[in-house]
Amino acid sequence: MTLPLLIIFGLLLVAQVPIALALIGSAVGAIAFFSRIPMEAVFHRMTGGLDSFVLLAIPFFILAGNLMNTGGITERIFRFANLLVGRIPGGLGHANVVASIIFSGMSGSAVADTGGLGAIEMEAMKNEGFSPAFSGAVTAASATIGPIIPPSVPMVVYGVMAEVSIGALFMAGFVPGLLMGLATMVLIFFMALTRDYPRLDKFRFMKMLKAFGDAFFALITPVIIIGGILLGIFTPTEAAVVAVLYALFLGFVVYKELTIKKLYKIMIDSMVTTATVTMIIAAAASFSWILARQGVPTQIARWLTSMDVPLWAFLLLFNIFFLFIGTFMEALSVLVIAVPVLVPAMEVMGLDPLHMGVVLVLNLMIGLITPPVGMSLFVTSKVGKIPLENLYKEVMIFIVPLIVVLLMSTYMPDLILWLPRAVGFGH
Amino acid sequence: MRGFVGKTLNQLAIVEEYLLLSTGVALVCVVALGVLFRYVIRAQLTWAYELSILLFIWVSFLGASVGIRHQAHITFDFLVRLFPPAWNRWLTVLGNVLVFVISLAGIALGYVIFTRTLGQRFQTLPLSRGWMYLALPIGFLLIAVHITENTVQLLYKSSNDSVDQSGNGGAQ
Repeated sequence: MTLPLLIIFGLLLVAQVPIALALIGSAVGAIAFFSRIPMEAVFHRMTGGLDSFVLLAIPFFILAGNLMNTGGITERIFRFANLLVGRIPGGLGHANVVASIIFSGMSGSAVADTGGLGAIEMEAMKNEGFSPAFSGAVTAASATIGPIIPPSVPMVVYGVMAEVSIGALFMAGFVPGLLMGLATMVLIFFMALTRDYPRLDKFRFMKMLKAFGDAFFALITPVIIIGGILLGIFTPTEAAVVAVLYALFLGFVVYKELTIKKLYKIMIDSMVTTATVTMIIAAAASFSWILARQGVPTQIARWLTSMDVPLWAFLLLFNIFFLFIGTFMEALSVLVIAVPVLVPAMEVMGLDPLHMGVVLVLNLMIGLITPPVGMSLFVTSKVGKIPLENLYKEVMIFIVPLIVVLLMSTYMPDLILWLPRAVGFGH
Repeated sequence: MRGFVGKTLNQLAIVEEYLLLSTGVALVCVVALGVLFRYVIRAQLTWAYELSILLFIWVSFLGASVGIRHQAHITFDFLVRLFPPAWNRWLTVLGNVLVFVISLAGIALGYVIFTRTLGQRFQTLPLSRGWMYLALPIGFLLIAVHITENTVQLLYKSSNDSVDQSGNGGAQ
């Protein structure tokens, strides 16, 4: 039944059936024609796939990110970031990265980063005389940091699929996320030296302090979310709903830029985005249930161990495989299909699912900016009105620092694991 | 779409959006209340868990059907981008027909699950579990309606219009 399942799934995908419905359709088709299992089991599994309090973090983190994007918060963060690092050669390029790092502590999605904050960043960079392609490339590249630094929708999905603590995953992404930002800034620094980009004429401490005060309430959002989870005060879902309430408070009371009319649109958009994610998760629950019934995950684990490749080679192949897959398949779909199949194999090979979760998500995030697909590139090109071809050329170099961080994270597990261990997410 | 059918469909879409909005708002409120009770009043809201899952499933299915209308769902459009635009259109029509067929299965089998679970009760809510599974047939019914609507609109469009099918959803 496995082969028909995969074939029907592939055909439905090519026919432009949305991924969620292609997963359900192939599950129904395979069961109807190749087994005696009652067909309603497929749909029963779908709702079962959503029966998890942890998944509720997804709508709330999406909503919180969208609220922060409209409430006048992103501008303040960007202004502060520019006054903080704008003096470094590369000026606004660094501000772009720093603002993305701060914003990724509030939002769970790379695309939300590109759409809201990215629009402001690209506008400012173009006005300062940066080329549109460079502005877009920096924006798209720095957006990939979002889901590595907590909170993160892909990490929640991975955690649910692999049965790993979301809190531990969030902490595990923290250091690699900061390293990605740092590595990107190093690249921007050297590019700025050869290209003579504008920067702030002077570092003004008082002005920076004033911008910090102005953005203060926004800047403590990541502290509330990450600190709350870190200290064990909140579960990730609770932290997410607190982030929503805090974003509403900022938008309505502190910055007064949110209106009921805007709120209506934000709610609808966020719930629809949520559904596009959760439907894939629900559908994947029935899809991977069939694969598990057929014993596919254990077969893969057995096959991988029988090949007897050294661990370093396995990890290299793992990265190459998922970088490749990530270039033309969308990240969440890869997670929901691959993770349940791979978890037994990871256990047999003695790999820590916490470590591998961060490595896997990192791979898929790099896929967001690698041509030809790259969701983040599409959004950047649309939002910044930059032709895709120009963006492709300019973004290639930004993949290098990200690959460096990926290799470091792959072969130095302690880089990822020390923080979750230090705060008590031990095994 | 114009005329009576078009008007009805537009009204349906408005009702649907308001339903999605209210379930979404209710979801935020229920989980927020749960947090409030746990930390401030120091009491456990026993029904908050089941109610939030019930609302979450409705948000997912209603959101999925609104998402069909907004064309927000994520598709595997890598291959299609390589095809000539004329193929694109027919591939989209084919895909829509397949979505319609899958929805029919969802309506029928979802209804079976709904009737079978009507007799079961939630542990902490004075409700039948059927109300949770009702999201299946209703969600797929609305998906079937919207995919038909999208297809008719696509076929009415003059053929030299290129079809925008970039899956712009996604929440990586």
